[in-house]
Amino acid sequence: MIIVLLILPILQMFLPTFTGDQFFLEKYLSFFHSTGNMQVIARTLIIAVVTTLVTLSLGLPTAYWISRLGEKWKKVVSIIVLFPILTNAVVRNFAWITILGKNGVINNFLMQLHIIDKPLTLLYTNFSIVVGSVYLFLPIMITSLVSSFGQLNFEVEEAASVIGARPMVVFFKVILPQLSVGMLTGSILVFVGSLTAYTTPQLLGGNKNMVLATLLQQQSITLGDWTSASVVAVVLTVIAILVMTIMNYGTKLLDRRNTK
Amino acid sequence: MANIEITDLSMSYQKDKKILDDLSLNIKDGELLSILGPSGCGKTTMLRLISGLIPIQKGTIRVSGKDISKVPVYKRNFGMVFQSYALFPHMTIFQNITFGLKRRKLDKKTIEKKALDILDITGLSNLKDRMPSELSGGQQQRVSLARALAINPSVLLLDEPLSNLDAKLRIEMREEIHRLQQKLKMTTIFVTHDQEECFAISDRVALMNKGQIEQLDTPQNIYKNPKTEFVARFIGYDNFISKEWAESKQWQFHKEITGKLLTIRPENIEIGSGENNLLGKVISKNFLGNYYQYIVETEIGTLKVNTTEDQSSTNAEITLNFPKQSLIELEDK
Repeated sequence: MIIVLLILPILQMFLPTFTGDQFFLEKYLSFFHSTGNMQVIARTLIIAVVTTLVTLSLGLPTAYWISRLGEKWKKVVSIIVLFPILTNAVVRNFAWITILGKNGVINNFLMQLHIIDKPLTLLYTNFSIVVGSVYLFLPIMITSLVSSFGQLNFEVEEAASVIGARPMVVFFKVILPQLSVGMLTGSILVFVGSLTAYTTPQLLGGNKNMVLATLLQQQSITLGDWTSASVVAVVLTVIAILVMTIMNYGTKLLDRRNTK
Repeated sequence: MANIEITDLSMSYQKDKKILDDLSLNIKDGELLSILGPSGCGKTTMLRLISGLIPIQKGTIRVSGKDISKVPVYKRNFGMVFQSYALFPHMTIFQNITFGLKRRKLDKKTIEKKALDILDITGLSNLKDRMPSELSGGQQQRVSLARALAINPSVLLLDEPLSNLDAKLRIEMREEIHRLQQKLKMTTIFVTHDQEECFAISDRVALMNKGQIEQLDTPQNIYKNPKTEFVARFIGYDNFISKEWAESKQWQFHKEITGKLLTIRPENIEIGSGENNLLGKVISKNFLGNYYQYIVETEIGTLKVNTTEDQSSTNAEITLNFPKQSLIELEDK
């Protein structure tokens, strides 16, 4: 039953690309031939990569800090960290619109300080999509890193520094390698999540800055072109599966190194 | 290689709770000195201050005459072995051992040679390509020791290195530590709460209580002549007798007693009458393998008496003898 319910929608997604007059590959070829579509793919990937890197670099110090807190504070901070996930996507993004918009908090602030004369275009750019995505996915990254930090034995770091490792060496040669599995797990979740996210790019990116998920929506709901929509869906799924497979393989390699 | 002079070392985490209280201690070059004490006595804090893992608040530590207070931990050239082994889980045994060597400006060949040498003398050569998770606890602690020794440290610090091992391995490992320490003649500080393992291998023992050293002496002297009540209790003197009471009973002593308290080991009290007698009633008898232990109620409290032969039974009224040469005088505190 579950399998049927899982497989049916996927088949439904693939099927339209096989039917019709055109040979099915041609539909994909024409999709990839369009420069507009290629731009959308590139933008989607860039946003996903940047979001992953930013959450990773913000998440590492935060997770480190949380992991050193006492038991009681750890719980409190963990709930605060998870808060963005608990809010409604539309509310969350409208909050960012009021912050980043032409008359938003940031522009007003900078104008009043006379740092800028004209409002900056922050909203409806790739930047605003990244900001919204980072806000959405940072909790996921932090959570998977915190559990990774939790498994560290602080005596291992001390052992390294006693026999001559400076703090930087301790971080890069001792702490970071032990976190690799957590970093990869978090990155997979964030990357795939931001690859397929729809609400955030729709609301913060506008119609100019389309990503695969918003393109998919436009093709299907707005234009009613279900065949093209299916092509987009398949491309999106394939990219997601590809990335996940590569990263999973990486995790396995690291895991094997740790527990051979 | 190095002697250590610790002068007036104090440390507190909270304002009026001192972990270390003006502690001074000299460790001779090439000596194996144990710091023995119950948990919370400050022994681990002292080791961490020496290692540089925590900064010195007050007092000085000199190594070979040089004040090391301002020297960061990674420049002190010490070796340290932790209770949890603390091996680098993502590195092979060989990489664990070369880690410290690579932090020093040595060429590749020298590093490899030094690592292979230390693997050889610790008997780990056949494990060098394994990961720490594939090793038993005893093997892991051996690697941890090898890693500490590989950098040829001026001082070796051991923080309860045997506590996580089972009884048989503990003896084996402590012999190994002793053998390597003798071979390399390395100044070594061994922190432990286990009197047996510390007596077995130490040149001298510093017995600590509440951030201060109660007694610093050879294992034999600590065992035979505890100076204070705390030391006596810690190393198994369970019976305490006030001098005033003993004098009122005309007990005899082998020398003049100036302190207020006397102590005697359970195995030195005899059943039967002799020079210093006391009546008592056996309230329980326990067979403990190589001896019998009687819990005896007397007018000066409950005493423990150990004998090798079964000499009495529960509820029996007995006379105890306290031979004068076994009565040890304690200092007033």
